[in-house]
Amino acid sequence: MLSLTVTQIGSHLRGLLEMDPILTDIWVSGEISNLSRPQSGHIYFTLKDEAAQLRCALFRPRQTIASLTAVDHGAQVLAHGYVSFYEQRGDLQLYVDAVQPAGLGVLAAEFERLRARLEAEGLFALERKRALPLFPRRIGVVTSSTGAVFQDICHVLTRRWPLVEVLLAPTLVQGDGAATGVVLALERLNRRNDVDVIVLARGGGSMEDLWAFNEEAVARAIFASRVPVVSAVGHETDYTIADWVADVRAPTPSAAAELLVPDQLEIAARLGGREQQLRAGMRRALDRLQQDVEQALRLLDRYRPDASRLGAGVRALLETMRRRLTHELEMRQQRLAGRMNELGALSPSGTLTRGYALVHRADGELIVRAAEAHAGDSIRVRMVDDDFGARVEGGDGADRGNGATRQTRPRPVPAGQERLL
Amino acid sequence: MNEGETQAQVDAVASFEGVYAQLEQAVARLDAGGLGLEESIAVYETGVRLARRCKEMLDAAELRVSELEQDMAGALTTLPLDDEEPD
Repeated sequence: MLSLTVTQIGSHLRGLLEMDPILTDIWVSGEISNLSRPQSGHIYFTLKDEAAQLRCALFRPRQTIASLTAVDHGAQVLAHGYVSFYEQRGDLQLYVDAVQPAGLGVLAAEFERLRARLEAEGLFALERKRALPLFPRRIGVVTSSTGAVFQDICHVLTRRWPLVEVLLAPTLVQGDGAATGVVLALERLNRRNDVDVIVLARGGGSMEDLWAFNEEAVARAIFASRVPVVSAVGHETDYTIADWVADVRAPTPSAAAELLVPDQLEIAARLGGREQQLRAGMRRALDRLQQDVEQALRLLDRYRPDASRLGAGVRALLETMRRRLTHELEMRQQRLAGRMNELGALSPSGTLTRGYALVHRADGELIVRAAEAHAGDSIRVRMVDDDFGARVEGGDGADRGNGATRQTRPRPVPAGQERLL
Repeated sequence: MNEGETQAQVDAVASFEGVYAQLEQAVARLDAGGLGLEESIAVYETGVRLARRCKEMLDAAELRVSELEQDMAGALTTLPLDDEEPD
């Protein structure tokens, strides 16, 4: 027959309680009674309901403003902590670390408890949040492989920036195994070296549905992610702990896709702007050179009157230099104009690819306004792929809307048959 | 060298971001001025070609989607989600 001392029994009891998985991390709901706040600063009370009661101790270091507000005589609360045996006094006690009003429900209470703890640990710190890449090349998406969320994200990406590649890391997003699945997906994506940014996405739902994204393991996995993480969980008004740990929070999965990539239309417009800047820069360079040459010519001209005092040979030399410089400048201007025309024809602003044409007179000069084209003129029309000859018909100059009529090949028009064309 | 590294290197050469950055540089050089006529033309031509390359990349792009998959041996491979060409 086994016989133990009181100490041994006490120790045994404590050991049993502290090993029990339920009792080491538990929310208890009940009514507060026997509230006592001795000078030590610790708070003691009893939680009771109709059939039982449990002693509770909320020590000073564990007290928070939230728990102190909730603790009141007669209040219905949810108290979180672990159950153990205080051997010296033989008391079974709940050692409390958080108290919430019962009305919020245990999920809200647990949410608040986790949020406060992780925030205190620094998991939400703003300084740690990374900037997202401007032109991501591969986006890792952690979400369910079924359902509309992944489709929505892909649709937005296709519209805005189809250059990007999408890598789906499928996982359950609610229920048992969801938190583990999300953690695993994050780890797998982080092990690669080609993912620039990760999106955690799931559609709207109740707090239970979204609960995986409030789990501590998921929060820590996001915090540990080398790759920046965008959290897009639930609807606009749903906040989960993942949202606070992530580098960026998006109100919905579609909104996440919008902020992850640029808009190709906007970038195309910017490209057009850059082209214009290039042309302007080129013109400025040309103007500057022209000024330099003109200045050189003026200097030469200044010496002309005195040249009569110099020999005829020197005079001739100065004339030759003058002529050569003028010629050189004209040639360069022409070459440049020709090059710019060619490059303009190939210009990526796509003017020509959209069906616009460059129209030249027979002598090669570009016609920019309809007023410059006169009836009977032979013109060359340059499209994106080739050019062809044409003749201007119709009225003259400013009183005409669209002046030029196009013929696909210049061919003689038989008399009396013009109307058929 | 695994496939991920090779792909990343190729991407680094051809990335839109890289080409776009070079275009910005060309524009900045031309804006700054002080180049001779030949050099101005060279920078201008380069800039226009870079802008065209950017536009080509955008025009040719089609969203590529793939999925993390586990094969029989438990190793991680990627599988394209549209079934045209398996990886």
